[in-house]
Amino acid sequence: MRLIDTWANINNWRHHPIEVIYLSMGLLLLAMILPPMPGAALVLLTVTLCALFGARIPPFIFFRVLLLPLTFLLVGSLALVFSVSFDQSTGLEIAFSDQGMQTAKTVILRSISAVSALILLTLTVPLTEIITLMRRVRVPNALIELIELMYRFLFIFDEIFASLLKAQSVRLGYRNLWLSYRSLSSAVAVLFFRAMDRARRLESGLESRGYSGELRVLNVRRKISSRFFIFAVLVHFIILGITFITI
Amino acid sequence: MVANMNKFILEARNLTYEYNAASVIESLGVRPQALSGVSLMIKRGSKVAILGGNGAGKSTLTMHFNGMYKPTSGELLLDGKPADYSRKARLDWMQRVGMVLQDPDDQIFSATVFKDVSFGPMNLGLPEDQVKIRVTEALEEIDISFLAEMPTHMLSFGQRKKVAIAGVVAMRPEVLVLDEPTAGLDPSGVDQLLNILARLHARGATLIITTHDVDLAYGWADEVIIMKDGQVVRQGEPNEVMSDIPMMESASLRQPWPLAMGQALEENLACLRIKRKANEPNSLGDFIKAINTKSRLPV
Repeated sequence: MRLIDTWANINNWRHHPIEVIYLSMGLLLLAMILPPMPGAALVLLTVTLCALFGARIPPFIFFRVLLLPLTFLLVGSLALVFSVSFDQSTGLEIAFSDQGMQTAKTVILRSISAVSALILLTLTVPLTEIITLMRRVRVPNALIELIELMYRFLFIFDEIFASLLKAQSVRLGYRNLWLSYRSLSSAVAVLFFRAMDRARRLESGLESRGYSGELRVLNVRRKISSRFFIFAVLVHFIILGITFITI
Repeated sequence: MVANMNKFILEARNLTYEYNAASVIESLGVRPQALSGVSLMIKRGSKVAILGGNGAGKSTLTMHFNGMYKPTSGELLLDGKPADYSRKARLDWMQRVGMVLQDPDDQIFSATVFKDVSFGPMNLGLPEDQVKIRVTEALEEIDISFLAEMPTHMLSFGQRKKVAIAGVVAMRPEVLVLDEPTAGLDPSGVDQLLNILARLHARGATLIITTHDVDLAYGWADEVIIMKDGQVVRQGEPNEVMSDIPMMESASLRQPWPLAMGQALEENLACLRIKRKANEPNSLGDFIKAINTKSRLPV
């Protein structure tokens, strides 16, 4: 979580959130509607190139984030590759099916390229920019405030929880499985109280800054780079073009 | 500025505060020390340090300065006028008296520094271009312009502390109250903080800090207020107040080092019977003043 967030905030494309959102959403759409070969494959290739050379995400980070959904996909598509049948005469039968293999390939390719387009988005656009954009397209204020506070608190709780675990483990709270269960449950309980306390303290802290029920802040308006935008449109059309030529 | 400015920007008259009273405006989570009969006066444009041991009531007192706490009895005067605890008046009050809490995470809520600092000015109902100017200026004043676009959770403790200060400075308060501003900062962080405070003071702000760092208070403050068990023990000029060793010790404090050193020197000079020349400092007070000037940080 921290890793993704950090790179979203320091990558080369962080100043072009709107263009990147357009680019990756377009790629996502292409990955879903075009035939996987070559459409989805092209999307996957484009995303990889964009992430590594455009946004300058280190390959290690990019592939690590990509690996997570990939493992799910591979495990999930095992069911497609093997067909299981049960017959009175032959009994339980597990067979490798060629057709299933074909389906699995299609599914994996299509999903991983669609997911990669989303990963490009999460790795290159800071959540704060997405929130700003949501405000601009008039998502209800209450929802945005909720997202923003959750985003802030996630990291605070992560820190509190880490320090609770550390405090317990330096006193051997995780020596064996039984103790680990006990320590973990009490840590979660303490975290709950800390969370309540935090919320109360933040409320009075905000009150002393003039808070009166609405978290109003000034959003920075970004200029859209037309060159980046044209680049995104071109990328979409090139993928479309190649797909139609090769079919 | 207002035509008939009062010499004292804040004045407390026999302030009493009991925890759990109906008038409490939401506690800070930690049970605060009650106040019993606090009276003090804070001069406009002065630098005041409130000193006291843990649980002496420093934080509880400062929460009264911007109207967060309403006293159980007694009176608080802001610029010579009795405090008004109506919702509208309190908003105005909180703008005039800015409060920086000890833990910056109690004050910072927004995802980026710029957005967070804009919160206060937005609450004042200023137009957006004005807000932008104020935020930019506040960030410059606190030397954190380069952090503007950073997500708040990626900042170090010292940086978060500065963001919290910038968030209050952007509201352009007349009085800035900082609760334990140096707690958790490294020496260079403390220096930077003192530079920021000096800049704000030069612009005419009245500064109030709470601390238990006697050396810092001695070198920095125009006036010190010593607290103990929810009461003000002494208020006055640092040299005079802090030389009272029994009083300082009873308030869980100790003497600042320049004072202690001055005393040690005096004793030793006397026992060595060194004759003072005419141009040398000829009294303990002068000597301490000389050390004090040296111990102050360059600004």
